[in-house]
Amino acid sequence: MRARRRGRVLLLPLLSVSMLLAACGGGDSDSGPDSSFTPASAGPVQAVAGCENGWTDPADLSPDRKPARCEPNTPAPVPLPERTKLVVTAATPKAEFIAPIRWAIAHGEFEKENLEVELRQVPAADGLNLLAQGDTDILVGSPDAGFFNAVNSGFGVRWVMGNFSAPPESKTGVWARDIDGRPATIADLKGKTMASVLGKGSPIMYPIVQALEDNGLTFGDVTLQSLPAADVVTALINGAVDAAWILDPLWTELEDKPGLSFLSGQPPGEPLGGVLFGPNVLGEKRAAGEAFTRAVVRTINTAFPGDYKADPAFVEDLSKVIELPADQINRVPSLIFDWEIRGGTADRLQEALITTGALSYSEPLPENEVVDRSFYEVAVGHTS
Amino acid sequence: MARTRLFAAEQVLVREPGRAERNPVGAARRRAVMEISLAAGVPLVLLGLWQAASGLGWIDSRLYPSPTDIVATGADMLADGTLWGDIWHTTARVLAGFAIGTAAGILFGLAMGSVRLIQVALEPTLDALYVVPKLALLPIFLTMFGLGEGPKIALVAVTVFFFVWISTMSAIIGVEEGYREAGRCFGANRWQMFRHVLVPAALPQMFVAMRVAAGVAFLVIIAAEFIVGENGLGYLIFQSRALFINDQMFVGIVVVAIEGVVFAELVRLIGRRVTRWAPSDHDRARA
Repeated sequence: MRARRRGRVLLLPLLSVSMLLAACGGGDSDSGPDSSFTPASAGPVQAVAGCENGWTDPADLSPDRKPARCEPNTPAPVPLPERTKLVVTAATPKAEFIAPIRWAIAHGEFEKENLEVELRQVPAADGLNLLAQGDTDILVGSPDAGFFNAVNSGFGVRWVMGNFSAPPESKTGVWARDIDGRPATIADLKGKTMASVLGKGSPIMYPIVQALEDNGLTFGDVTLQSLPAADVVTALINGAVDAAWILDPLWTELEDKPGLSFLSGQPPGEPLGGVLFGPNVLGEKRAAGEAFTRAVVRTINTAFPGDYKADPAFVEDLSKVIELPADQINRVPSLIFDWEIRGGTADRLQEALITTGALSYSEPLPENEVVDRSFYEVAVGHTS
Repeated sequence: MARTRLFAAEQVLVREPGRAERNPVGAARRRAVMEISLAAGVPLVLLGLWQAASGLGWIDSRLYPSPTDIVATGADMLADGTLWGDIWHTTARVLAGFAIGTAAGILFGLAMGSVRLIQVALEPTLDALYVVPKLALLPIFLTMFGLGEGPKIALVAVTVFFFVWISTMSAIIGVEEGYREAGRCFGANRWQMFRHVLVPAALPQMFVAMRVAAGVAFLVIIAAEFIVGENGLGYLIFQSRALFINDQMFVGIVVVAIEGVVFAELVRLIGRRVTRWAPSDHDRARA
């Protein structure tokens, strides 16, 4: 009896070792359940009334390119035959760049498509994990290093819409302290510390790396310091860091400060963020994804076609929708909302992120593996 | 097991020695084998289950890499030197913060436990500070010490301080009256009482507090490195999570767990050597 009990105890490690050996030989750990993800095919694209100018050539990278626009209230809703729910996550729902989606929720644009959209606040890294596993449907954020690494791992996630490009008056970007009593230049940043809320996997690495390389420096020439949003401006002002990437609307606090200057910002006319679809919407819920895209495009054409902040009444409404004070919204110029994704942006983002060491691979993935323009092309009826 | 028989007529209880009593050496050996088997077997079974689940596709190995993949990734990171830097930065911060926090905690604990007036003067303030979430102090430390190592070391030190301070003070206050009386009987003066009675009586509890603080120090530094900085195991874990490089994230978690256990064990071993008169954990458990 005792011998049997002791034998059972000794069996524990033996059992586990045998399980371990079985598992080691039993499967290919490099491949997962969804490693060969293939998105559902797009349906036939039909011309959409009011959207004759709703598409621009992705190869057009001119800084003064006018963003694609349809007539207000177009593309018209095409309600789904069955009501469908989509779970959308965003790290920062109280932000202006997400305004078209929140406006569409508040003003019933998704309802017109027979969609139920639930927006949840989830940190970006967690949001991507949930999206990749199919626990949520859509992520509003950006194609950051996590996204590219997820695609490289075989997850069914794609960048399907842009969000905005910075207006020419915007000073979101690299700010630096004066050096030797004169305004600093990018070339002066060699050996300096640059603070950022966003880490080395963020899309802002693309303009940062580009600006450094344009001025004869490399990413390794500066030390990137992650800091909480509230501390970035303070650290720059009190000299704890030499430079910092300053987000909207924080740069407005620096405009009047002596000893600080704006060095470079986001590339004009090139959205670096947007909407990511997960395996659900890229697969069985494709029609819902098209309806979602159509509602967002219609909202941009109707409510955010240009300088939407010129109308104080609109800003008041917007303030309620995105839960930000109107005076804070008015501190920065209107964003140029742009649902399109420029040609080569995904390549340039990946190259910059490879430079920063944020990607787990060394050659950019082909654009057609990370970008899917078919949703907005269906929405605006792009047929050429 | 011992057997007892009751003879009703004579009301005599007869107790026969059990196997363990007849062969205590063998019983001790069997017990040791069982304890080692359980101690090694449970984690091995868990690891085996994890490996099986990941390798056989029960869970997505891209989100939950198998133990063998984690070990392989960790070995690669050690070989190319990327992991050593993070281990070094975290360890150095923990050691520095732990040393400062422990020294201050012992000092305040001894003073407040020994001198009533000091206790009355400082305890309300320290009690109020104790309940403040230590991570909430990080922005203040950032302002005070800048962006270097100062804020993180200070955060660890403050966290460790409160554990050690409270335990030391309560241990000193809680020294049994019999010990004090014995000291007085031997004519011990105030210093001798402190040196030969109070401190030895309180030391075991102080080391227990240090062991707990050693683990908590790692919790705090990992969180701090996530919020501020560009290196350390906390940065590695959360940055890998953000970058969707899950095997590296798990490497960070495993290394933190190992480091935490090793550090707490080290404190326990030092404690055992320093307080030989105190019963060990095993002795306590068997008592």
